[in-house]
Amino acid sequence: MFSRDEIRSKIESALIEVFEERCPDKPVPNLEADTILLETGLDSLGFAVLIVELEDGLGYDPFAEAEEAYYPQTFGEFVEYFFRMQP
Amino acid sequence: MTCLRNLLEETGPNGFQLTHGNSVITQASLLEKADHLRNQYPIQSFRPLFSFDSISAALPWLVAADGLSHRIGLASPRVSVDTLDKLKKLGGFYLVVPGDEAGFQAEVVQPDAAERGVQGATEWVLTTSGTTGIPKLVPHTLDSLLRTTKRSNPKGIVPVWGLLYSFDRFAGLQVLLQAVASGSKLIVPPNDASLSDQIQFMVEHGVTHLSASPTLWRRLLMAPASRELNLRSITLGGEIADQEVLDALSSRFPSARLVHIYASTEAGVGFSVVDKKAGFPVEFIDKPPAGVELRVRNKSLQLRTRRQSVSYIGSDKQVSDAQGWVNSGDLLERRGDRYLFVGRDDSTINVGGMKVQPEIVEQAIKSEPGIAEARVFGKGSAITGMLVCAEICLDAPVTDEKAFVKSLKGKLLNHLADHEMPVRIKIVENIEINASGKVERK
Repeated sequence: MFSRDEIRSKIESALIEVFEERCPDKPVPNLEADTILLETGLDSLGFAVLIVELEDGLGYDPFAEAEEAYYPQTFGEFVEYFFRMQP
Repeated sequence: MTCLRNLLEETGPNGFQLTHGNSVITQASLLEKADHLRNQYPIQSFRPLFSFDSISAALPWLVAADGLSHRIGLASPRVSVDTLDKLKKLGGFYLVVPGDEAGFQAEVVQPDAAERGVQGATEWVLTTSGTTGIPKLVPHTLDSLLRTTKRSNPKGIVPVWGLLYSFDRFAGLQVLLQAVASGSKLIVPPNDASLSDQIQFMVEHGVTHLSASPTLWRRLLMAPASRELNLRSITLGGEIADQEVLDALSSRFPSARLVHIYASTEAGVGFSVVDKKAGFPVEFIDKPPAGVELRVRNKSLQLRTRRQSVSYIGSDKQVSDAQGWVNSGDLLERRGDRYLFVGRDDSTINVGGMKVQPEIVEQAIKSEPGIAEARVFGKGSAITGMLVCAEICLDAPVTDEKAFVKSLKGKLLNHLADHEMPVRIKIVENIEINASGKVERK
């Protein structure tokens, strides 16, 4: 089991890594719980890549395992979803 | 003969209206602009290939050329100059780009005598979504493109269509033509707006009808502003719609009609499914939707319409067989009274509506030093439907595999488009080669 803080920090560093790779010219977003994911500047492909990176790092993909689709809107919701869906 | 100009006249002065960013073009001003272009340029004697970013700049041209030119083409403004050149040659086109309109008169390609005598409908040529190599030229007519569109609005309610796709793509052109043919309002957010701003723009302009790919819908669902959209009709196309996205949309927009469209660019339009369930009812095989016949051969969906794009322009490759059947390449699995889409009979990977040929990615990987073999395949994604993954064999072991993969990715960026980039590259001992010497794909 990862703690909420561990998950948050893993997601934060993975997101920043993907962001720097994909958007080298844009400023790295400041990630707060209420940060709107869409407004970070990452596109759909960026989020898909982020989820693959997190699957490699955390060992699970909550979006693939969920029976019902969930589309988080804020960074806080995204972290909470990963925390709640731990296997 | 149907042409855009006639359709616009039929809908009357209170019919079609385009709002694109700050500019508003009414039916009357659109006709006026088109007539002006017709008077100014010898449109009937050349084949224009339009490569425009702005729909408000392109639309008067389309109205002017449809019904006069023998053939008109649409190309994404994002393709390279090189590709545009090849498209011009393949289709015998003259390239029209914004700002360059005045220059072309001197350069107009004179069609041969046979073509000058051509009567009948203008050929509409769309380019397929492949970005590596040369896009294919697929011929249509306005009638074939309009086959599933409604010419009138039920109950007199005038839809307000939002457009999020590029209008030079099949899905975007369908929305544009639907709005023109039914005399509706079309709302196109400014080209450079972020998705949040695009949604805000559509909220402010009262969009009621919206069409997008499942990947784009998932992204819209992630946008808080999308809650403010008062949608009556939701259309999904460009990729296979899964049950998850259909469920999420029907719970977010409970009063909206939900339609997912199955279409292949090759076969022209396909058919739509309105029962909010993934796949399509088995009964479609016996009682096909309007104008399309369906059959299943080798688990793969085949379609036949009255009018088929018979072959690609500038290519010998036949799209349909002698009886007019087009193989979609989409594999079906029957579950109860439903056919569900379960994959492809070729190796195509559909990443958020963009098709990737794994062979091209494998070639790019193998051309880098140190790589002995590569296998590229798709992986499911809850966000983009599919993603590209790769396995590679090295000529010799490396001490730092992570660094090797990172540097390989960096080099691949120079050769591959964004959606073609493998998101995960794994170094393996051995890649199976089948009897014909090809990489084994599952």
